[in-house]
Amino acid sequence: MPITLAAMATWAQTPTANPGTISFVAKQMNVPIKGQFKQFSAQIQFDPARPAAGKAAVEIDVASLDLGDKEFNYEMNTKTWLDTRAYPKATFISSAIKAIAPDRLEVSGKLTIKGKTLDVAVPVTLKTEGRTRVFEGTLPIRRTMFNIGEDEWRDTSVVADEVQIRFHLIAAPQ
Amino acid sequence: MSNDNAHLMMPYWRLSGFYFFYFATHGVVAHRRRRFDTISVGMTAMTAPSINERYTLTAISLHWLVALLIFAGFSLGWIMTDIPGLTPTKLRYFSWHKWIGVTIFFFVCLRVLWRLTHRPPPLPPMPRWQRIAAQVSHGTLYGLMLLIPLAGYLYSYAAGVPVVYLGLIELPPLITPNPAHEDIFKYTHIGLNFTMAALVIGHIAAALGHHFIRRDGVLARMAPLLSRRTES
Repeated sequence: MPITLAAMATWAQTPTANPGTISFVAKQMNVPIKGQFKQFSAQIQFDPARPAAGKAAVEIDVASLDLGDKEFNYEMNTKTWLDTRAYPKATFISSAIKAIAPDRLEVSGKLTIKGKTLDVAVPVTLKTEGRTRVFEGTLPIRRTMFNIGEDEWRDTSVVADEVQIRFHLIAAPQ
Repeated sequence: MSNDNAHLMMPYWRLSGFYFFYFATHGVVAHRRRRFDTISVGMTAMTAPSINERYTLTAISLHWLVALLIFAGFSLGWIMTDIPGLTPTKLRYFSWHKWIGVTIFFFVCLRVLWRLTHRPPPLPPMPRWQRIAAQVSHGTLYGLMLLIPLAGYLYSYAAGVPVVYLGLIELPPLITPNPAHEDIFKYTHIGLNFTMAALVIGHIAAALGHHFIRRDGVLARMAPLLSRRTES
């Protein structure tokens, strides 16, 4: 098992190979609308023996969002939604990692989307698959807190406020 | 079944009244043109129409309910696809449009079952080609009423968007999302809709023709209120 590589083993995801997925589910009148970000990178330092010393930084190329529909993709990039020209990156930077169980972590940190930064706590499931590690979880956010969907879209009766961000990050040892 | 000899079964002292009413409401020309039709209509003015001359109340209710839903669904489909960009109204209309389609599919299934287990009232005498045309167009309309919502449903699922009926029940995905299939179902849905629109125009024209030109009571079989209003 590659657990004891070093006191502070670095697990960095390789962006070109198989980085995993970052997707999301929004609800439109209870209809689940799924999308994903095709470009992102993550830097993860994690040692199971010292989880609190770990660090994670995720950077998403917001314009790589894909809702499976050209017109919807275009709309999501506009000022009303994600304003990707002004805010091309969404980031998460961890500030504390707490082990809840051997395979469960709670990662606190700062989530920045569309220029707004909020403190969040994400439950993460940890899996070891051969020489890679998988960090998996769901982070529910309120889109209106990040100004995603302005003007008439502030009304959440059509597109619900809650959006679930799902991540499945594969990290390989460096 | 013919009412041609109805006046012969009537006491002679009522005949003058019969003919007065009959020619007053239908005219001599109409009488010459369509003896059968006008007499049968004239008769219903004096005797209550027999119940087996029209569709069952269930068939009539389902027909008009589905007609209303089709009109609403078609109009909404037209309007929503004309809205540019992305707006809450557009998304709301898309949901309503899908709910209407699912409702139509459900009621048309009921209609087909009802139609298969209940004989429709007989048609008045008419040329064979017209009888066949009516049967073929009615059969096609039934088919389209089922295929159009189905194509729309598959279009939605091919695009990866589930149909959540009334915002409550997520309906089963019959297919997996596939952008290549999306366009096939989209254009099938649209093409079948225009086919249906043309058929519905023919259907309405035929119904009005039967009612106002031939006056043979064909429309009254499906619109009992109409027959009472015009004949009494």
